[in-house]
Amino acid sequence: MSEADFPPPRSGRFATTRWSLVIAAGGVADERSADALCSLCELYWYPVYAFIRRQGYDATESADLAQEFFLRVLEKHYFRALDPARGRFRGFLCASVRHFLSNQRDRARSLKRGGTRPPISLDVETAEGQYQREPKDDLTPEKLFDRRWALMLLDRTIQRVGRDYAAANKAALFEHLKGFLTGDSSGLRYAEIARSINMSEGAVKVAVHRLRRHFRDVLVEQIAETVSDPADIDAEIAYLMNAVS
Amino acid sequence: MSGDIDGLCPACLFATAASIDEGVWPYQVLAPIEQDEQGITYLAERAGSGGGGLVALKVVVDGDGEAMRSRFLDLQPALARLQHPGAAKVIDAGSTPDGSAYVASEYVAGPTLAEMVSRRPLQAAERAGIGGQIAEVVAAAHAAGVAHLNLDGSRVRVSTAGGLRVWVTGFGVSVIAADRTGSPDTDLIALDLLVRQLGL
Repeated sequence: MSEADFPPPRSGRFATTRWSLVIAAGGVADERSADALCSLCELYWYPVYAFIRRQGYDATESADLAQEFFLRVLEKHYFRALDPARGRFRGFLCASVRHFLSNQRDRARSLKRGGTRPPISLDVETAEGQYQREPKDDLTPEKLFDRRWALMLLDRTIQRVGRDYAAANKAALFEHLKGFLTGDSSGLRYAEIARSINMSEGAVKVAVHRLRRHFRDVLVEQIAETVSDPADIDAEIAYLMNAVS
Repeated sequence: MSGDIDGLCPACLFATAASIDEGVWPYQVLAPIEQDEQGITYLAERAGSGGGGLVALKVVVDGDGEAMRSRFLDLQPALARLQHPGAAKVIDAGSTPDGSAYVASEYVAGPTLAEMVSRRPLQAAERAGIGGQIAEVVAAAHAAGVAHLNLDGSRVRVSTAGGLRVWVTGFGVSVIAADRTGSPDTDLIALDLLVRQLGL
């Protein structure tokens, strides 16, 4: 048995991850936890933007509200004030933005907070362009938030897996095999691909197995950054699968 | 990114991730012990068995672990019915952590019948005893609904320590590893050949 092509992306099932670091610190109590929360917000800000837009705010208002929301989240007292749903970062962020907006509606907003630098970088133009491409459906803001979250997570995972294969000089193999990530195990397709890339059918099956496992590992690694308990990972996968079904 | 991910169905991607068994690989490979046209067989130990759980772990060249796992599960009820002490048990089948296909069976020490015959001439009583025990095991397998399909002198192990004992190895492996089909008649023809080779 040969070594796997890629090392496991994590040591053990669960190491200290960004959300668990934030939870353990009780919020942004120190620089490490503040950095961890900030980086999580930077990764997942678009679902927040889409949530606010789906509440009926226009693009400019939504961008301003999103910046103000993240500023609040990154304030030191925020965790104490909000008593966040601490298990998963996704649940925390969705509950927090809902709470934030309900407090904002009847309040005049002061978006220029004394020249304070926006806490995270929002590419509003891209976000709005993306929002305009959202299906014209009747998804609630919460469901749209979850769907966007799930799609961003998958997109990031596929890109990362592609980069890993490219780094191993297997970019072409990844392109040929990535269709199998959706579970197609037709013997005919294995045989066709085996011929086209000059591998045996058995070797293609092994390569597909490894690709699927690596995909799963990277996905789990990304989700692990957003949950505080490793036991939540499988449930989060099931939840997100439902969100895009 | 309004729907599909790089042309892939998002729900299917999550389903793939959810379907992958992250169970701990239960075997520690100790040494290669045999090689044939199907692959390499390793002596391996089940984790946490304290050395008591030795298995013969056959890694099948160009095998499809998922298909083998499926065929093993189909065959499992019949294999469970096969409780003869001379039939080496098939333990499981599937994919190794690196994606290779495998079949794990109970490890049986001792020379194969083919090796034993090549070392020394067998006495008439030994030949009769070995032939009789092989026939018993094959009959028990057929009664359980299991056909061997690959019976020969390399798949019979013999021990003479503490009395003559015979084990037939590889039950179901042909079905699991190579998706071979056949009938009990295949085994009866092979048994007849073995008995002739024993000079009975």
